[in-house]
Amino acid sequence: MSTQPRPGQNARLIVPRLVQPNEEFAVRLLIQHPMETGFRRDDSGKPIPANVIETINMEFEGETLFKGHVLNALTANPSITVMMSSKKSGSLRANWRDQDGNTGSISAEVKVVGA
Amino acid sequence: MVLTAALAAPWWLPALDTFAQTSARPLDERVRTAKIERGGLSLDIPVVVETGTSVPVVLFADTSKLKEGVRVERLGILAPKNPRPVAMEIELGKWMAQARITTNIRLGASQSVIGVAQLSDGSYWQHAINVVLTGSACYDGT
Repeated sequence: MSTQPRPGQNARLIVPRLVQPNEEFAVRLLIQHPMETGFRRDDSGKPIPANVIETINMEFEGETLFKGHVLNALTANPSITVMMSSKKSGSLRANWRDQDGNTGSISAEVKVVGA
Repeated sequence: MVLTAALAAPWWLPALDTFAQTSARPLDERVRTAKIERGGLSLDIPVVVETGTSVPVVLFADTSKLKEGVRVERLGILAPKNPRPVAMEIELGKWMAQARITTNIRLGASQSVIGVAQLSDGSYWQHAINVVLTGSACYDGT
Protein backbone atom coordinates (compact mmCIF):
# COMPACT_ATOMS: atom_id res chain seq x y z
CA MET A 1 0.00 0.00 0.00
CA SER A 2 2.92 2.31 0.63
CA THR A 3 3.53 2.65 -3.08
CA GLN A 4 0.05 4.11 -3.47
CA PRO A 5 0.06 7.87 -3.81
CA ARG A 6 -1.47 9.74 -0.90
CA PRO A 7 -5.06 10.73 -1.62
CA GLY A 8 -5.51 14.12 -3.13
CA GLN A 9 -2.12 14.30 -4.84
CA ASN A 10 -3.43 13.70 -8.31
CA ALA A 11 -5.58 16.44 -9.76
CA ARG A 12 -6.54 18.30 -12.87
CA LEU A 13 -7.58 21.87 -13.40
CA ILE A 14 -9.19 22.34 -16.76
CA VAL A 15 -9.57 25.74 -18.40
CA PRO A 16 -10.02 26.71 -22.06
CA ARG A 17 -6.83 27.36 -24.03
CA LEU A 18 -7.77 30.91 -24.94
CA VAL A 19 -10.69 33.12 -23.96
CA GLN A 20 -12.03 36.51 -25.00
CA PRO A 21 -11.93 39.37 -22.48
CA ASN A 22 -14.91 39.07 -20.11
CA GLU A 23 -16.03 35.87 -21.74
CA GLU A 24 -17.61 33.44 -19.34
CA PHE A 25 -15.82 30.14 -19.29
CA ALA A 26 -15.94 26.99 -17.22
CA VAL A 27 -13.20 26.10 -14.77
CA ARG A 28 -13.21 22.45 -13.86
CA LEU A 29 -11.35 21.01 -10.91
CA LEU A 30 -10.96 17.26 -10.55
CA ILE A 31 -9.21 15.68 -7.59
CA GLN A 32 -8.35 12.03 -7.20
CA HIS A 33 -9.52 11.31 -3.68
CA PRO A 34 -11.55 8.45 -2.14
CA MET A 35 -13.72 10.86 -0.05
CA GLU A 36 -14.17 8.11 2.52
CA THR A 37 -17.36 8.81 4.47
CA GLY A 38 -16.61 6.77 7.58
CA PHE A 39 -19.81 4.77 7.20
CA ARG A 40 -18.26 1.94 5.24
CA ARG A 41 -16.63 -1.16 6.69
CA ASP A 42 -13.73 -3.17 5.36
CA ASP A 43 -13.70 -6.95 4.76
CA SER A 44 -12.99 -7.73 8.43
CA GLY A 45 -15.89 -5.55 9.59
CA LYS A 46 -13.78 -2.71 10.94
CA PRO A 47 -15.12 0.75 10.08
CA ILE A 48 -13.00 2.57 7.53
CA PRO A 49 -12.09 5.94 9.07
CA ALA A 50 -13.61 8.98 7.45
CA ASN A 51 -11.38 11.06 5.27
CA VAL A 52 -13.03 13.66 3.10
CA ILE A 53 -11.68 16.86 1.65
CA GLU A 54 -12.44 19.58 4.18
CA THR A 55 -11.64 22.72 2.26
CA ILE A 56 -10.96 23.71 -1.30
CA ASN A 57 -9.73 27.20 -2.07
CA MET A 58 -9.55 28.38 -5.63
CA GLU A 59 -7.81 31.67 -6.35
CA PHE A 60 -7.24 33.72 -9.45
CA GLU A 61 -4.34 36.18 -9.19
CA GLY A 62 -4.38 35.83 -5.43
CA GLU A 63 -8.07 36.64 -5.04
CA THR A 64 -10.74 34.12 -4.18
CA LEU A 65 -12.73 32.50 -6.94
CA PHE A 66 -14.49 30.20 -4.51
CA LYS A 67 -13.97 28.63 -1.13
CA GLY A 68 -15.52 25.31 -0.27
CA HIS A 69 -15.96 24.95 3.48
CA VAL A 70 -18.13 21.89 3.76
CA LEU A 71 -17.82 19.24 1.12
CA ASN A 72 -19.30 16.24 2.97
CA ALA A 73 -21.34 14.74 0.22
CA LEU A 74 -19.03 15.15 -2.73
CA THR A 75 -18.44 11.88 -4.51
CA ALA A 76 -15.18 9.99 -4.64
CA ASN A 77 -12.84 11.75 -7.06
CA PRO A 78 -14.84 14.95 -6.81
CA SER A 79 -15.22 17.41 -9.61
CA ILE A 80 -16.39 20.99 -9.23
CA THR A 81 -17.16 23.21 -12.20
CA VAL A 82 -17.68 26.96 -11.84
CA MET A 83 -17.97 29.82 -14.30
CA MET A 84 -15.53 32.69 -14.26
CA SER A 85 -14.55 35.61 -16.46
CA SER A 86 -11.62 37.96 -16.58
CA LYS A 87 -10.30 40.92 -18.54
CA LYS A 88 -6.70 39.93 -18.07
CA SER A 89 -4.63 36.80 -18.27
CA GLY A 90 -3.55 35.34 -15.00
CA SER A 91 -2.90 32.21 -13.05
CA LEU A 92 -5.52 30.12 -11.38
CA ARG A 93 -4.57 28.13 -8.33
CA ALA A 94 -6.44 25.60 -6.23
CA ASN A 95 -5.48 24.29 -2.80
CA TRP A 96 -7.20 21.64 -0.77
CA ARG A 97 -6.81 19.77 2.48
CA ASP A 98 -8.43 16.58 3.71
CA GLN A 99 -9.20 15.34 7.22
CA ASP A 100 -5.96 13.34 7.38
CA GLY A 101 -4.01 16.50 6.73
CA ASN A 102 -3.05 15.63 3.18
CA THR A 103 -2.83 18.76 1.14
CA GLY A 104 -2.62 19.30 -2.57
CA SER A 105 -2.55 22.11 -5.03
CA ILE A 106 -2.67 22.67 -8.73
CA SER A 107 -2.46 25.71 -10.95
CA ALA A 108 -3.36 26.63 -14.51
CA GLU A 109 -2.84 29.66 -16.71
CA VAL A 110 -5.81 31.57 -18.08
CA LYS A 111 -4.88 33.26 -21.36
CA VAL A 112 -7.06 36.15 -22.46
CA VAL A 113 -6.83 37.40 -26.04
CA GLY A 114 -4.81 40.60 -26.21
CA ALA A 115 -4.10 40.85 -22.50
CA MET B 1 -16.28 20.32 10.30
CA VAL B 2 -20.00 19.70 10.44
CA LEU B 3 -19.89 20.71 14.06
CA THR B 4 -18.30 24.08 13.51
CA ALA B 5 -20.88 24.79 10.84
CA ALA B 6 -23.74 23.87 13.16
CA LEU B 7 -22.56 25.78 16.21
CA ALA B 8 -22.45 29.29 14.82
CA ALA B 9 -26.09 29.68 13.73
CA PRO B 10 -25.45 28.36 10.25
CA TRP B 11 -26.69 30.40 7.36
CA TRP B 12 -28.62 27.50 5.87
CA LEU B 13 -30.78 26.92 8.97
CA PRO B 14 -33.84 28.71 7.51
CA ALA B 15 -33.97 26.15 4.76
CA LEU B 16 -34.01 23.25 7.18
CA ASP B 17 -36.70 24.92 9.27
CA THR B 18 -39.00 25.39 6.33
CA PHE B 19 -38.86 21.80 5.35
CA ALA B 20 -38.79 20.47 8.90
CA GLN B 21 -37.15 17.29 7.74
CA THR B 22 -34.54 17.24 10.46
CA SER B 23 -34.86 18.39 14.03
CA ALA B 24 -32.84 21.55 13.69
CA ARG B 25 -32.22 23.54 16.86
CA PRO B 26 -34.47 26.52 17.51
CA LEU B 27 -33.55 29.31 15.17
CA ASP B 28 -31.88 32.36 16.59
CA GLU B 29 -33.27 35.84 15.94
CA ARG B 30 -30.96 36.55 13.05
CA VAL B 31 -32.20 33.73 10.90
CA ARG B 32 -35.76 33.72 12.22
CA THR B 33 -36.45 37.03 10.51
CA ALA B 34 -34.75 36.04 7.27
CA LYS B 35 -37.01 36.11 4.28
CA ILE B 36 -36.90 32.99 2.20
CA GLU B 37 -38.14 32.71 -1.34
CA ARG B 38 -37.41 30.84 -4.51
CA GLY B 39 -35.92 33.91 -6.18
CA GLY B 40 -33.76 33.09 -9.14
CA LEU B 41 -32.51 29.82 -7.78
CA SER B 42 -32.63 26.70 -9.86
CA LEU B 43 -31.54 23.26 -8.79
CA ASP B 44 -30.92 20.81 -11.56
CA ILE B 45 -30.84 17.24 -10.29
CA PRO B 46 -32.33 14.02 -11.62
CA VAL B 47 -35.70 13.14 -10.10
CA VAL B 48 -35.05 9.41 -10.09
CA VAL B 49 -31.56 7.97 -9.67
CA GLU B 50 -30.46 4.38 -9.55
CA THR B 51 -27.70 4.83 -7.01
CA GLY B 52 -26.78 7.63 -4.68
CA THR B 53 -23.07 7.08 -5.27
CA SER B 54 -22.86 9.93 -7.73
CA VAL B 55 -25.75 12.24 -8.47
CA PRO B 56 -25.03 15.10 -10.85
CA VAL B 57 -26.28 18.44 -9.60
CA VAL B 58 -26.21 21.98 -10.95
CA LEU B 59 -27.10 24.80 -8.59
CA PHE B 60 -27.59 28.15 -10.27
CA ALA B 61 -28.69 31.48 -8.81
CA ASP B 62 -29.84 33.86 -11.51
CA THR B 63 -28.73 37.31 -10.40
CA SER B 64 -29.82 39.19 -13.53
CA LYS B 65 -33.00 40.56 -11.91
CA LEU B 66 -31.25 41.70 -8.77
CA LYS B 67 -30.47 45.29 -7.83
CA GLU B 68 -27.03 46.62 -8.65
CA GLY B 69 -24.46 45.59 -6.08
CA VAL B 70 -26.38 42.65 -4.65
CA ARG B 71 -24.51 39.43 -5.16
CA VAL B 72 -24.68 35.83 -4.11
CA GLU B 73 -22.33 35.21 -1.23
CA ARG B 74 -22.82 31.52 -0.66
CA LEU B 75 -24.34 28.53 -2.33
CA GLY B 76 -25.20 25.39 -0.47
CA ILE B 77 -26.76 22.03 -1.06
CA LEU B 78 -28.57 20.28 1.78
CA ALA B 79 -29.47 16.64 1.85
CA PRO B 80 -31.45 16.38 5.10
CA LYS B 81 -31.57 12.60 5.20
CA ASN B 82 -27.86 12.13 4.66
CA PRO B 83 -25.86 11.28 7.81
CA ARG B 84 -24.24 14.68 7.32
CA PRO B 85 -27.07 16.90 6.12
CA VAL B 86 -24.95 19.70 4.75
CA ALA B 87 -23.87 18.22 1.46
CA MET B 88 -21.74 21.15 0.44
CA GLU B 89 -21.27 24.81 1.09
CA ILE B 90 -19.32 27.16 -1.11
CA GLU B 91 -18.42 30.79 -0.67
CA LEU B 92 -18.25 32.74 -3.91
CA GLY B 93 -15.51 35.22 -4.67
CA LYS B 94 -15.53 38.18 -6.99
CA TRP B 95 -14.14 36.33 -9.97
CA MET B 96 -17.20 34.19 -10.37
CA ALA B 97 -19.01 35.13 -13.56
CA GLN B 98 -22.19 33.33 -12.52
CA ALA B 99 -23.41 31.96 -9.24
CA ARG B 100 -23.34 28.44 -10.57
CA ILE B 101 -21.75 25.24 -9.33
CA THR B 102 -21.77 21.94 -11.12
CA THR B 103 -20.73 18.86 -9.22
CA ASN B 104 -21.69 15.35 -8.17
CA ILE B 105 -22.98 14.49 -4.73
CA ARG B 106 -23.76 11.37 -2.74
CA LEU B 107 -27.22 10.69 -1.43
CA GLY B 108 -28.02 8.26 1.37
CA ALA B 109 -31.77 8.00 0.82
CA SER B 110 -34.68 9.31 -1.18
CA GLN B 111 -35.19 12.84 -0.01
CA SER B 112 -35.82 16.45 -0.85
CA VAL B 113 -32.49 17.90 -1.89
CA ILE B 114 -32.44 21.60 -1.05
CA GLY B 115 -30.40 24.23 -2.78
CA VAL B 116 -29.79 27.42 -0.83
CA ALA B 117 -28.27 30.75 -1.77
CA GLN B 118 -27.37 33.51 0.63
CA LEU B 119 -27.45 36.98 -0.89
CA SER B 120 -25.44 39.96 0.23
CA ASP B 121 -28.64 41.89 1.10
CA GLY B 122 -29.44 39.32 3.78
CA SER B 123 -32.12 37.38 1.97
CA TYR B 124 -32.10 33.70 1.17
CA TRP B 125 -33.22 31.80 -1.84
CA GLN B 126 -34.04 28.17 -1.73
CA HIS B 127 -35.44 25.50 -3.91
CA ALA B 128 -36.02 21.82 -3.23
CA ILE B 129 -36.34 18.85 -5.53
CA ASN B 130 -37.53 15.46 -4.39
CA VAL B 131 -35.08 12.81 -5.52
CA VAL B 132 -36.07 9.16 -5.50
CA LEU B 133 -33.27 6.70 -4.98
CA THR B 134 -33.19 3.00 -5.56
CA GLY B 135 -29.83 2.47 -3.79
CA SER B 136 -27.79 4.28 -1.14
CA ALA B 137 -24.26 5.67 -1.10
CA CYS B 138 -23.82 6.01 2.63
CA TYR B 139 -24.41 2.50 3.93
CA ASP B 140 -23.59 -0.92 2.66
CA GLY B 141 -26.59 -2.80 1.41
CA THR B 142 -25.97 -5.63 3.89
